[in-house]
Amino acid sequence: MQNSEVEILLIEDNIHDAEMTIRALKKNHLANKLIHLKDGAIALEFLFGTGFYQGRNINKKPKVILLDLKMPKLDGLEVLKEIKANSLTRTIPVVVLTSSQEHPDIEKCYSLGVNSYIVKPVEFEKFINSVSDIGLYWLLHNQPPE
Amino acid sequence: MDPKLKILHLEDLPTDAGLIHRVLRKEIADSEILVVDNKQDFQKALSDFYPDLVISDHSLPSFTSTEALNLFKQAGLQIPFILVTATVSEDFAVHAMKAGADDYILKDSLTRLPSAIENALVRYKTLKERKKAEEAVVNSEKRHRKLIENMSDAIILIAEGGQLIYQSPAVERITGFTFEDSLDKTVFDFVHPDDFQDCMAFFQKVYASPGVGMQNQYRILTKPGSYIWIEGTITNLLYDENIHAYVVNYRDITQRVEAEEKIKASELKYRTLIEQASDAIVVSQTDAGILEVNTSAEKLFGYTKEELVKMKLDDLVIQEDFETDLPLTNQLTGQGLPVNERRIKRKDHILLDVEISAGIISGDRVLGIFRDITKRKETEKEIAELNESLEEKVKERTGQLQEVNSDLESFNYSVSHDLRSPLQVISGYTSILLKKYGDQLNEEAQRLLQGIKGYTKQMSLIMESLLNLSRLGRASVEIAPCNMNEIVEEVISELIVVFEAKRAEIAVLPMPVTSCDSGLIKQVWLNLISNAVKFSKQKEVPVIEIGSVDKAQELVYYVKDNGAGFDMKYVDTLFGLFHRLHNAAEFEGTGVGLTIVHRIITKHGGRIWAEGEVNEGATFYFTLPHL
Repeated sequence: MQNSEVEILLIEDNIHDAEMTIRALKKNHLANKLIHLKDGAIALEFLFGTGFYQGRNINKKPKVILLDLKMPKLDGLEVLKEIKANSLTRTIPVVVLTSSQEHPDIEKCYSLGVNSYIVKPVEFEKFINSVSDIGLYWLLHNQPPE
Repeated sequence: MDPKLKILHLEDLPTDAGLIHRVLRKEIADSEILVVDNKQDFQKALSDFYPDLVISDHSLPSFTSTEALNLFKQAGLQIPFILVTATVSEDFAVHAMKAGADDYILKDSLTRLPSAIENALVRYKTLKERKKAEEAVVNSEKRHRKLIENMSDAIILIAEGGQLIYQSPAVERITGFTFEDSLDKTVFDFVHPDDFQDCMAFFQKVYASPGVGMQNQYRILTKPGSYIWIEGTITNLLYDENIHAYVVNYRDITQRVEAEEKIKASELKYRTLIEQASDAIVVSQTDAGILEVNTSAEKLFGYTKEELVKMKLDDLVIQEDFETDLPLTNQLTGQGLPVNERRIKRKDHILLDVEISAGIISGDRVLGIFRDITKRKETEKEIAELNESLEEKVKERTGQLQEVNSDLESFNYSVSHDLRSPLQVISGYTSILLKKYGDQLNEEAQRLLQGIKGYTKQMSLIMESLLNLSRLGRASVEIAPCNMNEIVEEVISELIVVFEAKRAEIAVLPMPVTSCDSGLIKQVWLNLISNAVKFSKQKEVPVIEIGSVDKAQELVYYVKDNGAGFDMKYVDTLFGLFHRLHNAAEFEGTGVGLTIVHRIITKHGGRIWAEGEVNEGATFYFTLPHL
């Protein structure tokens, strides 16, 4: 996977949550080129070709990053900040996926340059619809800069 | 003696006359002598000649010296009558002297005549003077009696034993008693019983000081039975041989005493008022300084009354507190210092804050009123300090609140995130189980999984409502003019999508524009109208009416439906958190919606209540104050 093409980078510490997201994407066959990383630090290593991902071709950027906010070690906000602060990664769309509309940092996310802020519905059917919409939108409809 | 001695001489013999005249002229320097020799001329001369002396011969041709003497007596002249005769018997001489002659002289011893005349004249003069003096005494006594009788003051004379000796007419005018009324009594019997002891003691004092007039006041009885006040002067003149009595003059002073008593009573009243006053009161005069003070003044200033009356007002105040050097009494009498806060200096050198006000008694006399405002000042200071510490406390509390708020926010976040995530997963796994492995499960297992799904959904709804409620707690109410009809139409258009409430006949009556927080009030309408839709869904034709009533103090809004309604005995629990009157199978819900509505209306200063009847529908009312 070191240098394979990645369309979706899912950064999520909870494997069950991740499973739900991945299942939802799979429904629409959008999860084929997905990588799931379990914390923010490793995600940054992936994006910048450092640490564990030393030597990875960093020009192979994901089409969209799905980011959880509440994570151990480096939390979502920090990750977002690093991504948007670096010219290399700035243009990658970042969608924050959260279970809560109560997140106190929703405004911070937008000021840091988040592209979407999505509250996941509890009901699985609705959740599937939301995640599918996101995947379809960013992978198929969105035209990233070259 | 008169310059010219006028002598009337009764004599018929000119030689005898010449002889006598020679003797007279020789001895008496200046004299005028008229000689008559008959009765007629004698009578005339007695009245016209104004003689100082009559000399008469004894035997005359027409009448005798006895007759002459009688005429002389009748004329009533107070002058000497001297008989001059040639011969006289002892008997005749005695007879003549008895009849009124002053002396008799024999013609052969005429040399005795001048001295006889002189003696007689001297005797008469003395007599005349005594008579004059006697008359004067009589007149004087008459005058005094008249005076006494006409005096308005009563005068009485009292014997040593107290018996009345004399009373002037004024006594009857004043007391009604006559002298006879007192005959078998003493004057002490008329004195008021309460004054009796005093009066007796006073008389003893008077008795001990003869000749000294002493004054006193007593009540005495009057004939009608009432008592009057008299003021009298008593002098002990028992030793005076002409009087032998106590002399009392007295007058009725009842009116004066009553007036004085009234004044005393009124003065006592004001004195009591002043004495009882909690404020210090000081009477001061421009020149004399402090005249009077009350007990409160002693307490306030720490000086005794005796010390204070020797002081001036200025000794008690702090001079720098005043704009002028003028003595305080002058300042106060000047225009009456308006109520002013100043300081006083107590005897123990403690300074006290006081409020000074004044009442002018007269041009140079003033009533200074000092109110101790130390307590008030202290309270003011305390209030100021409290205000200051309050600000500190507010700051402290605000900090604590901010902390609590941020705790609450992280709690909310936890609730919504940490609890929702597992729910999502439960919901997801259940759905996957049912979809992917449903055909491998029997009916009972499928039913159980459906149950898990349903409750997961219910739980997420409850969490959402709770979050709404907690958000509401923190939300501030922002009042702006709102078109209620627009808000309601918006809510209805949203509800029709979500609830498929198209079946219901919803009538919205025109409502006046009002002032409220449109976001929050929209939530109210949403909850109330969705409730109405929900609880009337079992009706064939749900009917919902929305409108308002404009009252004087407030606007009353209502949502009325014809749905399931409720039993009025549960009305009090309607707005309580998690209270539900219907089970979830009948009507789904979280039991939070009406609590949110109640909270929003309360935050607006309004009220909310409901009326209903089982199966006959419900009406929810809420009010918003006119702004």
